[in-house]
Amino acid sequence: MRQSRFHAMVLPHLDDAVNLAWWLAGNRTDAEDIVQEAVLRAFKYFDRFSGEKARPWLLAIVRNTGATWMAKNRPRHLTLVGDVAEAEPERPEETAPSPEQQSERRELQHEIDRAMAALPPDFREVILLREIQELSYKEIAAILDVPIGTVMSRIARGRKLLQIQLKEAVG
Amino acid sequence: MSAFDPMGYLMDCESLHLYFDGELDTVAALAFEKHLETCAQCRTELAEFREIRRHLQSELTRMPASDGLRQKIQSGLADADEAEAPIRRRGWNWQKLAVAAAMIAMVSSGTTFYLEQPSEESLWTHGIVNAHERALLAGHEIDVVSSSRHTVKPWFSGKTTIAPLVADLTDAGFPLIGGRLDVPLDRAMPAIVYRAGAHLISLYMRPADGETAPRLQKIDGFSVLAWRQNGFAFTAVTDADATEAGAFQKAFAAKAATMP
Repeated sequence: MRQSRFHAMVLPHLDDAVNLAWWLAGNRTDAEDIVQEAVLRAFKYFDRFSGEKARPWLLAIVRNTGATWMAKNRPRHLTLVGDVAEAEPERPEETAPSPEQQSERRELQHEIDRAMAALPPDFREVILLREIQELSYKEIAAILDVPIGTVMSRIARGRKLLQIQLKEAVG
Repeated sequence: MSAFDPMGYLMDCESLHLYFDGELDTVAALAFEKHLETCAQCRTELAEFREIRRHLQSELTRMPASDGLRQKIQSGLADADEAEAPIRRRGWNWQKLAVAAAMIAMVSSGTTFYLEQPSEESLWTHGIVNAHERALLAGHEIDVVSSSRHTVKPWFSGKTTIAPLVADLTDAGFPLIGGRLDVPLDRAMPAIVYRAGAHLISLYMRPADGETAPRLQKIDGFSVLAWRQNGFAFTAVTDADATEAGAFQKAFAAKAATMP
């Protein structure tokens, strides 16, 4: 009963959890270790989870498990290890764009990935939570356990850094 | 640079990110839009931030959970649950409570039902929203997981007489996730599941004649859109907001119009 409730609430957000951990840790093995640990932790504390939204709740546990894990195991510097290719979404053949369009798009994807990876971790995580997870400042503040004003300034700074990176990349 | 608006709000470049992130209330947002009219720099910044957001959402690599991780987690949970089973038990009997709540709901909805004489259409709509909610609660969003419509569509043959219309909307930002068989009222119906950012959209379909414009409703916090085309009555249910649901409907309708 408890387990099926947990499944229903939490497992639909597993992809989001792995994606966040992957962007924080930089490789799939570490990301999946972090998420596995986080999900078991979430299960343990599930009784304390009362009605708020499941996705931010799970992401908070993933983020904090990840932060502890990174502090123990890694320098806070992101190197994305070549598994970007395996995450490439499947594209149906019939609408396949021309080779030029494909390579242009790949180039753009590359620039975007690089700009994100180049962000310092504090800014990278707020940008992910805001632009990809589309969470509110309040939800992000709760996840990071910082004041809303801090969230606001980190988002503003993170966007600026991305803007500069991407302008340089495009030339 | 700052602009003073008649309502007493002082809005300047500082509020750009709050505005862009939807963190301002309506009055403050309007005041900021006044500021935008006079501040070219904010307009440029806003356009650039929009572009960056669009690129991040459509082009940034996303790493999904592997099947291996899903399995590890499932078995890890099973162990954890077994280990804890004997200790936890006091407290409410949730199953009984749920049954009681459902009975109360049935009685009260039975009353409205009688008074309002709902149309067949609204019966379907509510049946579909309930089916969508049941699927979410049971953690059973998808029976067949695939991003290829050539896998999803054939999966339904033999399970229902309705051959679903499955569209590839990846380019419009709504990738296909899979499909599920649901029984909203008295018959099985395919639901095709698409992704919209962080949300899922279930698109139900049953054979019906005619064409109608989409009608938006908010039911139990879900955005629900119903319309007819291509010989189907479509109902899209999602926890995404109305704008997103509308964009999905538009993209789907445009795609379906080009399909037989």
